[in-house]
Amino acid sequence: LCGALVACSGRCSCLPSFGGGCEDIPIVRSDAGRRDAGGLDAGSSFDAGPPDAGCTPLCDPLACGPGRDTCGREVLCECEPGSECGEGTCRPRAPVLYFSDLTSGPRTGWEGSDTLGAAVTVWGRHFGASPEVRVNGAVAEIAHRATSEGPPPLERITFFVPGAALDGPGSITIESSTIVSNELPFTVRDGRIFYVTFLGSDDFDGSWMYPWQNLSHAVAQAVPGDLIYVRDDAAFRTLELDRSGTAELPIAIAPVPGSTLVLGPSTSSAVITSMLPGGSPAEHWVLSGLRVTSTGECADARTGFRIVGSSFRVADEATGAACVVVTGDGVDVLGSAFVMGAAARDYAAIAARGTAGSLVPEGDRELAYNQVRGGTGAAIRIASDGAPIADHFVHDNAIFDSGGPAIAFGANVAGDHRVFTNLVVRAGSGASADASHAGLRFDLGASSTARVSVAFNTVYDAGAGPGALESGAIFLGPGGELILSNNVFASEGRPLVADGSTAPPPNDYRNGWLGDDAPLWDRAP
Amino acid sequence: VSGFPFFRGAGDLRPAVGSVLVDRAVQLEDGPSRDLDGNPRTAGASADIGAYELVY
Repeated sequence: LCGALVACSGRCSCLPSFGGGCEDIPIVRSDAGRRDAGGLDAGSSFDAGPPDAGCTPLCDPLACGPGRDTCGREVLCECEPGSECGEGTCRPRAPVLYFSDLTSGPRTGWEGSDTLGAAVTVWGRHFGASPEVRVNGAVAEIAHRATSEGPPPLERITFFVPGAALDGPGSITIESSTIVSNELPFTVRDGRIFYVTFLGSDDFDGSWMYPWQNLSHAVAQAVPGDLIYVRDDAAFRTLELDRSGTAELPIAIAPVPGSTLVLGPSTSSAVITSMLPGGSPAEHWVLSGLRVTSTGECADARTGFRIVGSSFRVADEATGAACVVVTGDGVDVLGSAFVMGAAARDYAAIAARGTAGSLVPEGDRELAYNQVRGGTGAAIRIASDGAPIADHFVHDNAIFDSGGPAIAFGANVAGDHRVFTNLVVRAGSGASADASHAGLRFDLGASSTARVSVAFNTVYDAGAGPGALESGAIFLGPGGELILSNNVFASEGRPLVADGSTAPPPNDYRNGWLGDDAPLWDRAP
Repeated sequence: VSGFPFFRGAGDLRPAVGSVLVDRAVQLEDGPSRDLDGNPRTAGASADIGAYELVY
C-alpha cells in the first residue's frame, strides 16, 4: 500500500484506482516506445525496470501523454529531453528568459573593441544546444554558458552586446530550434568599461591592457553608467559602495565571463556596505556573479540595487539581521544561492524591511529564483520596524531546512504582495522553542490592510523543530487579506495549519492538503 | 483537495501520474505563467496545484 507520505518502490507508482496501492506504470519516451520497449527511462522515479515479456508500449511517433501498452496497461509516453508535450505531440521547447544582470549597457568598449560591448548574463530555461542571442536586433557573441540543476533549475548565457545593436531601448531574445524566447528589456547606451585584477596597478587607467588592482579604487573612480569587471578570480575582503548610480545609469560590478569574484569574510561590518560619505544610502548598483562569505551581514541592498546570480555562504554564529538586508525601492535579489550556517536565531537569508525612522512607504521588490539551504531563522522575512513596505513579489525560490519559516510576512506590511511558485522543504526545523516553526508564516497584524496572494507553492514536511511552536505547514495570523490558492501543504504527524491560526473566510481555495484533513475553511461551498 | 496520490515519490514533489493535484487549480487573474521547472503553467485543462505542473 502507498499514500500520504509513503512512496511506492522505484518500480511502481501509487494509483488511486488501487485505493492507494502500488502499480507498475512504466514511463516511456516516445521514441523508445516506438522502437524498443527496453528503452525505459532508467533515471525516472517511475522506472519500471524491464517490461513484462510481450507487453509493448503503444506510443505513436512524436506522441506524448497517457497511453497503453499491448497488455492494456497504462503507460506514459514522454518526450525526449529538449522537447515538450503540447496537445499530445512532442515539439521543441520554447526558450524562456527569466532575468538578466544588466538592463542597459554600451555596445562598444570590451577590451577596447569597437564591435563588442558590455558582457551581459541572462538566466532562463530551455536554451537548447545552439542558441542565438540577439540584442536590439543584432546577433551577439556568446562568451560563456553554464547550468545549475536547482531547484530552481537555471541555465545562463553570458554574451557581449554587439556593436551592431541599435542604440536606445530594446530587448534581449534567444532563439533555439527556430523558436524565439520572450523578451527581456535592455537599453543600449553609452558607458565606460573598466577592469580590475590582482596583477594590475591602481596607477593604471583601468583598461583591459592596464587594469587596476583594487576594487575599491575602481569604485572610487566610478560615475553613473560605468561597468567594472573583475578578472583572474580576484578576492577582496570588503566592498564599500560609497557613491550612487542612477535609475537609467546604474553602476555595475561583475566578474569577466568564466571568472569569479570572491568577497569576504569581513572582520568588522557587512561585506558589502552601501553608504555615501554623508550617511545617505548609496543607490542603483548591479552586483552580479559574486561569491560572498560572511560572518555577519553580507550586503546592504538599497534603492535600485540588483543582486543577481551570486552565492552567499554564512558562517556559524554569524550576527546581524540577515545576509542580504533590503531597504528602499526597486530592489531585486535574483538567482542567488544562500548556504546558511547556524547563525544568530533571527538571522534570515533575505530580510526586506523599511528604512528605520522613516514613514515614507517603500517597496517594489522582487525576490526570485533563489535557493536557500539551512539557517536558524526565517529564510525570507518581509517585515518592518521602520517605513511601511509594499509590493513584494516572492517567486520561484527553493528553500530547504530553514530553522524558522521559509517565508514570513510580519509587521508594517502594506499594499499588495505576491508569493508564487515557491518550493519549501523541511522548513521550521530549528531548535528554538519560542520561535515559529511554520513553513509559511503570515502575521500582518490586526490593523493591516495588506493584500497577499499566496498561490502555487509546495510546502513539504514543515514544522519538524522540537520546539513545536506554530508547528505546521502554515501559520495564519490576524489582519490583512490573504488569498491562499492552489498551494500544496504536506506533512506527516504534524498539523498542516499551525495551532493558533486565524481561519480565513470559508471558500473553495483549492489547496492540496496531504497528511491531515483539509481545514473546514478550504472546502467547496 | 485531498486524496492519493500527490507526488511522484520521496524526493520528487512533482505531481504523480493520476495525482489529485493535476488540472485542479482554480484560475487566478494574475497567476504565474510557468512552474518551478520553467514549463508552461497550464499543460492540461487547468493548471496543476502546487509548484510543479505535470508535463510529459
